[in-house]
Amino acid sequence: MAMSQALIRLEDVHRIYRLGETEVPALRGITLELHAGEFTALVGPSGSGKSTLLNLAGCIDEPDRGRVLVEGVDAATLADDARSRLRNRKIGFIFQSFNLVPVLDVYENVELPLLVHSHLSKVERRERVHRAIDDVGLHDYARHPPDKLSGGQRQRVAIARALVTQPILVLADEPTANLDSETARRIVDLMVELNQKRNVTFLFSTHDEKLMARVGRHVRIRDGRLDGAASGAAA
Amino acid sequence: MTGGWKLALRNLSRNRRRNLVTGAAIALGYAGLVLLGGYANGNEGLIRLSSVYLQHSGHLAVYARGGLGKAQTKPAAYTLDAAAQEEILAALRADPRVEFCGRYLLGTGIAGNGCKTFPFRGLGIELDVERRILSHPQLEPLRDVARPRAGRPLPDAAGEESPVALSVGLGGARLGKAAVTGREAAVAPGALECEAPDVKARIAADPWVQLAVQTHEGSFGAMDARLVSLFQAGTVDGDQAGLVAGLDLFQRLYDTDRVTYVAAYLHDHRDTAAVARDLSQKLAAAGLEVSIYPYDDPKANPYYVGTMETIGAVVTFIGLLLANVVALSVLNAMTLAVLERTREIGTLRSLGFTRRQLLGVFLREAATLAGLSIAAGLVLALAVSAGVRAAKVRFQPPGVGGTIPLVIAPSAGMWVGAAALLLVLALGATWVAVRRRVRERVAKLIVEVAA
Amino acid sequence: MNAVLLVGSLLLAGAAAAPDAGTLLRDSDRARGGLERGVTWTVAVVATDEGSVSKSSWLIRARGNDGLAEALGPPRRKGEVILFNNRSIWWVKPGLRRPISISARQRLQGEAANGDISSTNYARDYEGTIAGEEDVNGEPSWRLDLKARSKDVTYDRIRYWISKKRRLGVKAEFLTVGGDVFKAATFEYGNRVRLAGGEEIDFVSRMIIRDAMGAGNVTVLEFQAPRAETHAASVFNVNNVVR
Repeated sequence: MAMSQALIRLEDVHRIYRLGETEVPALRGITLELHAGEFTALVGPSGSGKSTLLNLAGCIDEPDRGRVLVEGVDAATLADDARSRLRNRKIGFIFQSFNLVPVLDVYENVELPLLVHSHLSKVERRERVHRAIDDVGLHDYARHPPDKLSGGQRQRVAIARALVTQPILVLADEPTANLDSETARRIVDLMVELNQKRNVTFLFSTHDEKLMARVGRHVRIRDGRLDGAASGAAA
Repeated sequence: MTGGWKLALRNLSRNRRRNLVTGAAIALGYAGLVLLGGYANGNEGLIRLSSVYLQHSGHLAVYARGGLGKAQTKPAAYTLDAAAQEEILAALRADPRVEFCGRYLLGTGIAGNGCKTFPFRGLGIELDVERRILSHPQLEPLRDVARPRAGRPLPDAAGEESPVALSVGLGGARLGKAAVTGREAAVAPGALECEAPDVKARIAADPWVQLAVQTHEGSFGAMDARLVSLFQAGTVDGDQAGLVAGLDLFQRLYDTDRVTYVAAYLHDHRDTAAVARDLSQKLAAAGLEVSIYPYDDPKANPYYVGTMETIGAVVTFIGLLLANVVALSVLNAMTLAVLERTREIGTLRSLGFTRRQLLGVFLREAATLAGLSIAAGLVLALAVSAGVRAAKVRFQPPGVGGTIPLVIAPSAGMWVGAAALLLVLALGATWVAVRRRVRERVAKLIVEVAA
Repeated sequence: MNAVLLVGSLLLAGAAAAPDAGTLLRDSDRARGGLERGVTWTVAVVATDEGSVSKSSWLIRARGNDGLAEALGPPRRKGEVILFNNRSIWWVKPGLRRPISISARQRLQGEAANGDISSTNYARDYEGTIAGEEDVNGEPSWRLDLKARSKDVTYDRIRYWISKKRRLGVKAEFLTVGGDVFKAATFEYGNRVRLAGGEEIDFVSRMIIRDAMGAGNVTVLEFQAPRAETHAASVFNVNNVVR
């Protein structure tokens, strides 16, 4: 498969957390590329640096050393507002604990990213939101508040919210960790389906071995370093 | 961004009890500020009425140049002669903003009861002008204060022989006049018997007092005056030595046709500065050297100005306290809200909200809370002031010889100003509470869980 | 002009000569007024106050500590009477229902103070000490420091110069509580009075009172035709004065 320009490229990134006097290195020189249409699992034990890597890739954190390039642009060179715009337009986030806004219903939660930076008309916005909700199979739940939904449904809302802006990359941090295995399987199915049908690029972290079997490319991380740049074709 | 207000409004429903408490603080603070301001405003009205009409300062007073300070010691040189009086009165009467005018002669001297004498500080007034003042509709709230403590209003005795009104301190306590309606009872003069019970009883029953002064020309002037009323002046000095008599009697006593000042009473007190300015030009053109003092001039009216300053200081102090309580309540509520929503702030940032947009969400939230609370406070303040009006609450301020109504009359500026103040405070407190949070690393916000 | 003023002359007391302050005061008081059996004179008062001049004249009768001044002119003041009983002053005006008493503090105000000055009985009201010797208009004099014996006199302190040769008061300064000179007076003695016993004494003929604080206000009292006369005590009873 011909490799186009990487959507995201991490170049020798380091990230060190400072806890009082002590420094805890979370990433120690990681270089990684993500290409369009890839479905990549970031695998490693707890504390290995998965979340940190996702944060850097999503431009919600900055490396202490190294560069993060989004479509060739060094995120560090962008002002905060531009970085916010970049996140909004190009990156979708799915969190382990869903992170829905409790006072908004399903529709409103999904609509949220479109309320900023978007030049969409009201009609376009509505269509996009409904399509995203339909895509995750929550058509009948659009007006439900999050606390009336199951865990799986909530994560579907989060996925719809991540997809509604049509990002180049969706980052998912342990998206199934808070779900039972059956629900987790369905969520992964959904993501795989979206990857295949809509060509959405996914990078998600997990330590669930069963899920890894479904994924084309595995990136293993241990103690802040990649465990040999295991690579596979997009599914 | 769109939908910011919706989000703000929804967020208000989150911690209802806390928002209710914060809202109550804002509402009570607003009602408190408005009512406090309304009280000061109402009092200003009453104090102005008292100063202008009851203490005869007029809305503006025209003195001979230097007369305010020197008329007492050098009356011949610093009072207004008949020609000047005419000139001033003509100028004032030609001004449609002037309702009526009065001439006044100030003077000091001693008042005696045949046994003892005491110093007085007196004012000669035109009785027909005084009648007009006492029946003035604007003075309705002060009717009880204007009423003499004993006897009849001085104008009712116009035409009688030498009527005079004395302060309760001078006439009652010092000169021992209990009755103002008694018949003349011969009192044997002579200092030695003054304390004898029968002499005291006769003095009390005798309505006549003797006034002695240094005339404007410098010699002694004296006359009998008949006490028709005792009044409470409202100031310590006035109560110890106050005396009011007809202008003609006072002019005879001081052997002069001059007056200390001419006071103008206007239809609308807000015209005072303009009328004073026009009058000043007119009189200057006529070659008359005068000084014109509006009712709020601290030299001419220390009572009005001093009282207003005191009330202003108290109101400002309490107002600041209220504003602080409101600001701290909002700060507290917003600090807690931000703390609880740390992860949400991170989520919204990751979804692409800029710092400014996020701050805007919180500011909208605070503005909505403040707006709703202010509306509630407005209803409360309206209800309280209507209640006070309906209950016709009256009270007796210290040193005043009568009750005055409790008037709460906030001006339009106070309703708007207090709302603006609290809104700004609420937004400012929110800004302080939120600003630091939204500047933190997004990743840090997302992993942080509220304590 | 104020009546009280003139009364001035009613000063009293007097006794033998001795070089102590009390005796000096008594001797000098004698030449300005009251003698035991009584004395009568007239006084013309000319007061200048910032350029305006007022005149009045009075008949004075004095006896011991009492004095009675009756206005002779100007015409509109005729009949006014000022009575000095010890330290209290009564003022009686025709047509006025009651006499008016004037207290020490009230005397301080205005021209009334002048009358007070001329009527002060130094020997009775003040404790004197000889504070020094000075020439007054070339005449060697004692300077006495007088302190009030009681609070109901007008001035707490007076500086008083008495001629060594004539034993007469020639100059006085009246001080405020703060110690400033409030008024100053000079005395001349061109009159003579023959007493019942045949003795003839000097008697005041002119008193000039200057307002030290005001702008050059001056009051001149001219004493005329003093003669010894016996007055009954009843003349000085306020109840008899009021008609």
